[in-house]
Amino acid sequence: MSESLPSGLPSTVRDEEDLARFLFSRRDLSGHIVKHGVFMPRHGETSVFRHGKAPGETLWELGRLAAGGRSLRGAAMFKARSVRAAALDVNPDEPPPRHAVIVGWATISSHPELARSQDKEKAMKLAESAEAIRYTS
Amino acid sequence: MPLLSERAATVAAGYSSLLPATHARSAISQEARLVQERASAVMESGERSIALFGGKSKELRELWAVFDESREEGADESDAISYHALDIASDFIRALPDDVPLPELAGEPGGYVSMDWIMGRSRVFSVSVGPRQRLPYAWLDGADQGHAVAFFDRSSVPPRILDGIRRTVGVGKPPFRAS
Repeated sequence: MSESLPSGLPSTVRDEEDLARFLFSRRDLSGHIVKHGVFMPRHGETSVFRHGKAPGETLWELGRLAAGGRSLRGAAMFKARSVRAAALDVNPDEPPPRHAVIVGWATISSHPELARSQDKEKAMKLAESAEAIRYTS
Repeated sequence: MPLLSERAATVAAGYSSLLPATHARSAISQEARLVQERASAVMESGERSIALFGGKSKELRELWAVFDESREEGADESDAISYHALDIASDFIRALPDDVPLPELAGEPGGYVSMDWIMGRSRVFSVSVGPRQRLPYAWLDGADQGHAVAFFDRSSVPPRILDGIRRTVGVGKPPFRAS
């Protein structure tokens, strides 16, 4: 049995869990398609929240918190299973509550461009399964 | 950047003096016909350049917008696109041949510009342009996927990247024939 986190969620992220990556730029979407750049790692990881589409108000409350000074545009929704199918993994990372990080990105310090190209391919696989929802304040 | 469109407009205005020659009527000498043909050719080529220039000019303005956005307050400092990366990205856009559609642009973590050709969720080609001339790229085309790095000499798009873009967008494919 896995332990519980401060949020009450289990300390391991199950494959069937819903995840949200918040979007802050109009360039994050191409029509209704989530662009892979949304998932590209910053400092070796990609920040996500363990929450599904419903209830919407809780999801957007998390989004507004994550936004800081930026404008919240929407969220890319996907399953933890898709992260693992892209040869990545997702681990809890609280606080803030429900926060998690996608890890397993390439680390080839001698060939940063090669590492980035690998990451792009993984991010594309992940974006392929993501569904975009728009934020309406 | 408004200078670019102003220049395009000036060039277009210059061609207007050729209009009478291109609209000359039938009872004309052989020399006049030759002048007419040459004038038509110059106009056609000029119009093609203006159309192309207009598209790339818009794309370059969009690139500047991505550059500005990467440096906005609240953005992660490590994501700021450098002037050098902006120069390389501009050269890449200018180097794209006429038959290739222009990509969608977006900022990418680490100070890169992502140039994306998106034909669907499962059909994407993307190049990252940053501060070095070694360009990471990746593609997804149904079950086929991959990644690589290519050197950009700042004047012509690396052939493997060009081939990948063309395959993704469907340019240069043989026409479909029903058997």
